[in-house]
Amino acid sequence: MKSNIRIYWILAILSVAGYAWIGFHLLSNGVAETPLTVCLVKNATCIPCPSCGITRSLLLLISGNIQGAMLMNPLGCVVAFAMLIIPVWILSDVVTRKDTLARSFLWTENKIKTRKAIYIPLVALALLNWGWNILKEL
Amino acid sequence: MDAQRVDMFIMTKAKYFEGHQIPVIRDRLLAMDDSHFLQIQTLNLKDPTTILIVSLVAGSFAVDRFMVGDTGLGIAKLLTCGGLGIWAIVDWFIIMGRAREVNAEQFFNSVALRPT
Repeated sequence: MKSNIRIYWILAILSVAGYAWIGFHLLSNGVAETPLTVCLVKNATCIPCPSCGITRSLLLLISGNIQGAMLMNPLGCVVAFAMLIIPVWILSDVVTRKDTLARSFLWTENKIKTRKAIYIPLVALALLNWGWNILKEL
Repeated sequence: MDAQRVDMFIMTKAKYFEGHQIPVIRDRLLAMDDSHFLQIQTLNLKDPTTILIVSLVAGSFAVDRFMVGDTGLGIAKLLTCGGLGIWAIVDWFIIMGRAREVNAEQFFNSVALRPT
């Protein structure tokens, strides 16, 4: 039960932080000369990390450019989907006093950890995407 | 189980667990049958120091979270560039505790499966 509450808190904080981050970028659009980058890897090594470009991809999605968002970083669409679903799911669980989100989270985690057929393609896709990020020089 | 054996186990494996868990672990081991000692001895415990080094080097890629078995949080951390760099830094301080917690969970799960 304790770990379930922890999952809810972490997902809620991540969702709020995600919306705050996107809101900050939308509000400061065009104010800053260079876009703000907090990525440790990119700042330290000048090589983009696997998730570099997700913010730009989300901003493109918001402006309606789905193709541009996919080309920027396909993970942006995954994050957008998660950011739309998770807050609604948390709220519905809180209202109905159920723990469907936590159980689904733990179930998915267990499947990814234990099934080779799932985690090997996922790791390969993440690496391919990272390679593409480096080639694109995000 | 023989007290001397248990104390030897505790001495060699103490760094894998939180200090407050050691007395409980000792009691559990003392109540356990001798034949299960080998299985307990060969548990795949995560070394908190190794995890800390991994966290310092590759924390932004969430390798530390994947290593301790928090796959869901690992994916979240990876997708957010190490939580915008903040989560990666926070994890430098909490990942050792998390590794010890995971080790204790693994130990107690393994003990719970065996008849005492």
